Amino acid sequence: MPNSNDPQELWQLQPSEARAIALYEIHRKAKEEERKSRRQAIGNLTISVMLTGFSVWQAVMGRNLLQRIAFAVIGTWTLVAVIFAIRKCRSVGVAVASTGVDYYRAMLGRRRDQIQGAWLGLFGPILCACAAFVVPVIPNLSQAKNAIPFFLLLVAWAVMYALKAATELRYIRRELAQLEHPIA
Amino acid sequence: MQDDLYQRAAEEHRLALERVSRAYEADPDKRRDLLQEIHLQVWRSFANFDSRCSVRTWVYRVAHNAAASYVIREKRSALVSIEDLEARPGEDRLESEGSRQHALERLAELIRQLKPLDRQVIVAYLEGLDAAAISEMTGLSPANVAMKVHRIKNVLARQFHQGGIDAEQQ
Repeated sequence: MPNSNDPQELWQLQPSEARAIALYEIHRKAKEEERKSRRQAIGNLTISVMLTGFSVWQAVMGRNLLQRIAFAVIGTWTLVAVIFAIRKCRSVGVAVASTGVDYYRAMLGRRRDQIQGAWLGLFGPILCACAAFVVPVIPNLSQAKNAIPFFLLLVAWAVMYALKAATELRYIRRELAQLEHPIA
Repeated sequence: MQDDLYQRAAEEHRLALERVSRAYEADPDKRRDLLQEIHLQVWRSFANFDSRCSVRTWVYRVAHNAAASYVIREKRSALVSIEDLEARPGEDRLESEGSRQHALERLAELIRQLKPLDRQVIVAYLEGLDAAAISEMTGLSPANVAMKVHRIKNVLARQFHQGGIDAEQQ
């Protein structure tokens, strides 16, 4: 019987609650994961391509010059973000068998890049595209009035998301700094 | 080769991997998923196994790293370091009403409060790995590992020996 006063014994002699996992299950899960990540990559790429296509269309067909310039910038921005995202995907990540410190540092770095990348590559262009639609109709107040609730909601969402992202980024930076200077 | 290595390792370290999953997830259903994820990563990693460290160190590293990814992804609540836990007053003391299962749950709960790297150290210590092996696994300096293990022992001693379960049951 394990001695509950000895944490090592208590930990090592804990009862098993899971059955053994067969190799064919691992193979099946590996295939499922590959399919899932492929679907995700295609989904992200599709959104970016659609946004680029829409921006190009608006840049060509836009109602006024300011809007057309704005959409040309957004289109270029999205395209550059997609190219960077693809290049990043192709670069070799940290191996899962790295030491704990290296892996944790790399994971925190990846999470930081994900948060920043979401703003730079996706939400930024989307918000700019919304602004490019709103700004020209502001002088015509009656037209703009109907869209106010939607844009208030959009702004509230953007602010809340930005605050959440900023909090997480602060935490990640603190963790990374602690990894550089561990308490000895 | 990859399949053979995995099958041997999974057979030998099955219970250890299960214990790692307990250190990272409280919910039994999610724990099963995490355990599957850990097994998958261990299997994948054996495609690049280079024999520079023992299979045991390799398996532990991969398991903890897979679980650390899970913690970062889930990011449920604020995690603390071993230093924070040591500095805390003894409000976390294990209670007397429970059985060994209760004590185990509280121990696992204590571990799950920790940041991934500290969790790796405490689990390795509980698994009986020595400081050199923990250092090899985590990449922390031996001095740092020794300091952390010392603090872990303090925390666990506070929980288990100063009026711990058995003492209070008697």
